[in-house]
Amino acid sequence: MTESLTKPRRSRAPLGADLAILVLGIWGFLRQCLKSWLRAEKGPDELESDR
Amino acid sequence: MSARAAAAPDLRATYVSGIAAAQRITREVILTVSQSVRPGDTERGVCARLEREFARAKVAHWLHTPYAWWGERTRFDWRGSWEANALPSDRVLQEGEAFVLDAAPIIDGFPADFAYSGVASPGAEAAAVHAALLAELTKLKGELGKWARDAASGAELCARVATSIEHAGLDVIHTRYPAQVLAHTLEGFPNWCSSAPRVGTGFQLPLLLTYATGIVLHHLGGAPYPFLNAGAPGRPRGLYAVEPHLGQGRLGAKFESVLLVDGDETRWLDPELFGEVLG
Repeated sequence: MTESLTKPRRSRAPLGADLAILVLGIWGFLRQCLKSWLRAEKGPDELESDR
Repeated sequence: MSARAAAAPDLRATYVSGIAAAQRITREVILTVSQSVRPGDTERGVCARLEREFARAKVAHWLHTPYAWWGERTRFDWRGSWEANALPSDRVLQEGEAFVLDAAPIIDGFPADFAYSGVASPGAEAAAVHAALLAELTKLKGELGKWARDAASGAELCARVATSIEHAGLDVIHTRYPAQVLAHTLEGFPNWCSSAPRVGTGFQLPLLLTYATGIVLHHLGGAPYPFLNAGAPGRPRGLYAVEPHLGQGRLGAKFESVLLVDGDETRWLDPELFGEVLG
């Protein structure tokens, strides 16, 4: 039996990496929401008047 | 994303015209506000100005709301969650510091994503280093189109871009983004979630849900992978928001532009660095 000398080309991205992207993405989104809500005491108009 | 999988010439032409129109408005807003950025401004204050300009353009939905990063924050050297750390802060821009503005609104159902890199005081010493970074970005933009056309896979393209940046003696910053992306698709909009309501600041539901759906459809149904990153399989095809980001010392700089890779036709919608969107 002859071994192929060419490296097979992947048709799918690595599943583990994509699961990590999904989990970290949801985690990051939740942290971002929490942080942006906690800091929402200053609205855009108030910030604009800082200048 | 199902629409993207079967992107016929007519559908792609619709994407190109819709995304180009959205990108023109976004570029105009960001460049207008960038002219007003001064030492003493905070990231939050400038983002508020960007939001005000986008509100005038009747923007109600977003992939992500405006970001502004000053000084060392243009390098994303922070620890922990990118999403939380990237939110506009009360950091004050100092004389001679670099800054980056980046916004991705959805306009008439089509997404845009544009970023601009500048310096607070062009005469400052750091401006020379920043100018060198912009020169490298200009060179990269010229070559990236050809590399995308010839790349056997998205992963190969990303490796080539990273090698080019490293050979110039610079740091690769875009791998610090969520999903370590060099680029993400802008096709498949409008879709089921593109009118989702805004939630706070930063990444928004249309971004999160569209790319999560894209990943799932890629693994279950073989749909095109929505990102160009180190694991991206297959030849790049379609419309991508490409955002190479490089750094040197305490400075970081990037551009974000839309690249069309479609068989024989590979071109930037805006060929010049921060230049006009031709469509």
